[in-house]
Amino acid sequence: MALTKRVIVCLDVRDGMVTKGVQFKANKDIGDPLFFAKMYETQNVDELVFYDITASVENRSLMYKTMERVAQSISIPFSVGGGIRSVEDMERALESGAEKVSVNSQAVQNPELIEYCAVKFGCQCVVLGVDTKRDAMCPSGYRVFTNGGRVASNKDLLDWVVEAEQRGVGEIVLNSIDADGTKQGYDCELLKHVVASVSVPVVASGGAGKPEHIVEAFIKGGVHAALVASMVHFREYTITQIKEAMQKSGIPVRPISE
Amino acid sequence: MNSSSAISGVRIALLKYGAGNTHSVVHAFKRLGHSLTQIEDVDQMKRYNPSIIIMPGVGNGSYMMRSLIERGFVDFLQEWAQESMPLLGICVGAQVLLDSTEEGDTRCLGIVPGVCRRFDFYKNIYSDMHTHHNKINEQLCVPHMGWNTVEASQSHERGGLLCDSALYYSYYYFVHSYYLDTDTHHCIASTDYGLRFSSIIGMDKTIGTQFHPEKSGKAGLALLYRFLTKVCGI
Repeated sequence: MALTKRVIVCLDVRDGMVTKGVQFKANKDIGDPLFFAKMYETQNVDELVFYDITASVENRSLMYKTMERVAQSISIPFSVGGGIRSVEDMERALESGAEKVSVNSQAVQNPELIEYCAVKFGCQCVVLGVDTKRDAMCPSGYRVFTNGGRVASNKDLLDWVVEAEQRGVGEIVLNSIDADGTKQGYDCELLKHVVASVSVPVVASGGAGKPEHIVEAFIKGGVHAALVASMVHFREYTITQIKEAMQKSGIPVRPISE
Repeated sequence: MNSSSAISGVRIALLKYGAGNTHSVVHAFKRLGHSLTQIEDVDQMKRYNPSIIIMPGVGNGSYMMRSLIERGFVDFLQEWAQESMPLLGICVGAQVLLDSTEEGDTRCLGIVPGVCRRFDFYKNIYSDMHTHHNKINEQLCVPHMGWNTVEASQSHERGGLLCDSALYYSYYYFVHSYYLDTDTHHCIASTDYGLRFSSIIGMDKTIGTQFHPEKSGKAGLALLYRFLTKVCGI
């Protein structure tokens, strides 16, 4: 008996609808967040992440309303990310029923945001989302990007995750811009680097196309959880199939049926 | 006006003490047919006159104790437990039931004997070297975050009552950096994470769960249901 490895489904939400893009471009709407949340809970997903990619401020309150509906109808943990700029934004996200809140670009620009949130709400609910891309100019070989992967920052990946951990993040979701949307598998080398550099849980994101990729992220990358999106949203695979593949490879999972 | 539970005569109070999300606890009980009334200080508590108290916990144990003191809850809760009234503490709400916590070296409620300690895996690796164990093969993260098994104590009378007796163990959702350290008399169920710690503690009708039953899917709802029926007798 051990702590199980988590499978997390990520839902990008724009104007209250679930949407899915490829390499941060060309999104298409695919349905109601509540429908997906319930479906994945039934499939025994371990956690959900809702990422708000809404551009306008007025539609942001629509996101919180949607989260309140989700909180009322599922009983597994979920996090919210996107557009968190202040302690007040984080409070609002937690108030809507989220278990954790993810900060990304704003933390790069204003790293003290992590400390403020960690002190007020506890490290366990502050997640750092990092978008990163291979870059030979950086000491670790990876550069941190902001604004949904569009803007290069001046931060080296490993420097940033170590700093963020010291400032108080409780979990790191690591997204490879190179791999995202390609369905060719996670960048396991990247995952291994980060897992070895921090002592908080690391979540693999970007690139999963089939259950074997998730198995690889756990075995080769050493991560604690894996984020999946399009491979399940478009019904190519179910969470059950992913967990079966993990189980066959000897990875501890929460059983498929209770 | 206070909202009352669907089942007449059952009045469930939810302690509210500053920062932290209590929605999932409210929603979980709603699914079981009970509405909770949020209580913010001891005077409101006395007016409400509850039959069951739920003490959720998010964040920091030291902060939570300070908040309980400020709101006048400490004496009330200690007397409540002494009078064998049902009390459920969740996560940090379970930690403060003990005598003290290492988080900010804080004295706690002292309802269940024990101490809340920080996971310190470097120390464990060191002591393992001395006892010639060789079991650390994977870096263990702090916080302990995710789904882990909770195994009922065979010797504790409440073990079979609270845990699913047909299963012997179930998976529940954990998020914590400090763990409950009690003797076997007060350990209803335990969990393994680098070391074996108490994941359900109890003393009379006071129960504490280190995990979040309200976020643990069907297994969690089933545990809350057993708390209401087997411990509270409703």
